[in-house]
Amino acid sequence: MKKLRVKISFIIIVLLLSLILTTLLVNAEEIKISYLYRITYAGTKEYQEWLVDTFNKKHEGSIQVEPIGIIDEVFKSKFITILRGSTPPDVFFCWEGGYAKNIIDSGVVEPIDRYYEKYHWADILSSAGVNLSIYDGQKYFVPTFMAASLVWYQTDIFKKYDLSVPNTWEELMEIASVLKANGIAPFMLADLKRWTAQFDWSAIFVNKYGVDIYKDLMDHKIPWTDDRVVATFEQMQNMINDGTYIAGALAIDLDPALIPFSKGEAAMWYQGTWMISRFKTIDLQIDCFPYPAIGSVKPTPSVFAEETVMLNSSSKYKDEAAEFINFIISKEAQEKLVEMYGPYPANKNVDLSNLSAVEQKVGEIIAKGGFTFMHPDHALLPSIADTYLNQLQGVLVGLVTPVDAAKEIERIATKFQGPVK
Amino acid sequence: MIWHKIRQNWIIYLLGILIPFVLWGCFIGWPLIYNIYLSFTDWNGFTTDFNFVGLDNYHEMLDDPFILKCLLNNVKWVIGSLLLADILGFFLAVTLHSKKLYFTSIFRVLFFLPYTMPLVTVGVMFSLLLSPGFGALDKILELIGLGGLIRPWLGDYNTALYTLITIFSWAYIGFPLMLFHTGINQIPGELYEAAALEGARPIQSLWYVTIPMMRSVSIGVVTLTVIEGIKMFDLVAVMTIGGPFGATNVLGHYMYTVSFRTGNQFGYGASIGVLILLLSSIFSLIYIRYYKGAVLHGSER
Repeated sequence: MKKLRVKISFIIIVLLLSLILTTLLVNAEEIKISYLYRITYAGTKEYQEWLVDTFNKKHEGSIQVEPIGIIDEVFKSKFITILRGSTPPDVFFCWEGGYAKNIIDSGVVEPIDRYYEKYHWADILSSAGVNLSIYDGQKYFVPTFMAASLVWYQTDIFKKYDLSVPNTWEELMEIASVLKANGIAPFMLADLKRWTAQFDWSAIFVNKYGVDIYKDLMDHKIPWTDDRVVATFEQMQNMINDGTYIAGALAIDLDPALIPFSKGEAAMWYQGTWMISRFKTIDLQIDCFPYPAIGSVKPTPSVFAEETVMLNSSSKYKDEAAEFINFIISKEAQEKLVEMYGPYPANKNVDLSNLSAVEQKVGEIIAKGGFTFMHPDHALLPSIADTYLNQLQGVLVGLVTPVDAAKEIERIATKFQGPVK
Repeated sequence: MIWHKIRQNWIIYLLGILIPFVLWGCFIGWPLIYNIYLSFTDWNGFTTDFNFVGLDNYHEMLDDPFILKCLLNNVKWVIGSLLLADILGFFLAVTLHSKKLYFTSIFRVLFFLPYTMPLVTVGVMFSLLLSPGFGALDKILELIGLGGLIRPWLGDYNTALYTLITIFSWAYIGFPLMLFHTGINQIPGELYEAAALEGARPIQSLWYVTIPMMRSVSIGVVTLTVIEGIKMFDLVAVMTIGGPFGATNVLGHYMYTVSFRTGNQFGYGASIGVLILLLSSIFSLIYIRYYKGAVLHGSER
């Protein structure tokens, strides 16, 4: 009996060892890389899963990607933890602008100029996105998703009150008067989480004083205490006080705000193109126009890279990771992105003719030129951006004057960017 | 002698002391010590090298106006929770203990249910309920003729914090309720009989019998509530992220903000964590000291 048990045990051990050895041999050539992505709205997860599955099938036996999805709300905290963990992702999502600079300065991002050359990415990607990837003369990321900020308006409300798209600030204010007289808030604003009011602030500033002045402000070549900055804070404060924005704007978040918007409680909403997929879910009749000119300055719509991917400098498989990045921005993957999530892809060669007329119109606006400007929370270093958002909310709540808000932001900007250049 | 005892009962010492101690060390002790160490550095969370900066982070805390504001909010949170959760929970426990009330066990379950929900879920739920214009609360107020009370509860600087405190108390009340209920159950019935024989009215029984006998439980409940208030984070992070304009910012959320959102100041965030630890420890020590006193006092009586 004992001999039988020994024989059976021996057979089981041999079988197990064979299985382990076979598995190891089969996967000996296979390289595993990890990919960290952000889950935002409906369709993101499904798209990312398709992306990884499709790539893995194409590269079975050579490269396998393991995805890690983190929801937007907790992304910033988990991102840092994962990045500094024992198995950091090889490829990861990041925002552009000041946030990206923070990450790049920490040394965790690999410059990818050589892969830009190898795969000719500059030829297929939106030039706006490519230009944004350059820090100190080197390219550090690949844009995957472009966005623009526009005024979205409900066409049925405009039709009902015989309103037409404004080209000037005065025309916009006339529309606002008509809407207010009929009990409709001209603009939706959902600033509970602080990040949305800056869209309007930066649009007013850029369209009144010019995009170059705005960029100088972001680069701290102009102080935040400049009269033009204070005047823009005052403008926003007046707009909240005179009912241009919906009542309770500071008590509602972006997605719940779709409810009163869909009920016609507000007629317009200045927001990013990511709202398109949201509007589709509630079947709204929507069109858009760029924020109008304020005075004699030529209006500039905001066009920027909303999503990018970076390569980890500590990755052991940089070439393989670059191969995956190449697939992410390929025509095939970017067309699927549009289909499953929505526009706008960073790949210029993606055919957008299947999109609605409104979406194609926006696509033309994005494609027209290069990068224009980012909103302050992307453009500024996180520490300055947080102070700016806080102070802007304070102005809108009426707890801090525009002058004091500007002074506080200037104090923090000087602390982190140095004195005015 | 001790070594001999340990060798004789080594398995008890291993399972009963060493393993729990190692687990505590791995998951609580080491992170705690490391956090204290980080509070003396300028670590940004990304780089592997960072500098020892001594007490710079603590000096910065003294100059930071947000720290005092957050601390005051924490104090308000604690006081609000004590009033709305603990005191109300006590009176609910007394009421549900009454023999004249039916279905008290069902009521206890209903009151306890919110405590079982994660605060994140509670936050998301109430964010929708309180949404201006379409939230259920506004509709209810209109229906009952209190439309004048409608306001943007989370967007109003004067109401946002108290709104969060009320929501927290709603979610938390089940915990003190259950503790008080258990405590009341353990009060010997003879004391109430004796009081009744002396001619005491129900309110007098409450004041002279129930409340004194609940001393040790009360101290425990109050201390735990205070600690919850000091380390509050979830509800603020989900509902208001500290706004509007810092009205609802508390130490826990501010620590998260400086560490992860505003320039990755992990060293400074760690120093705020140490402050939270110190405040919680003070109240824990008070609890332990008074609990011992209450037990001794009770056993003497």
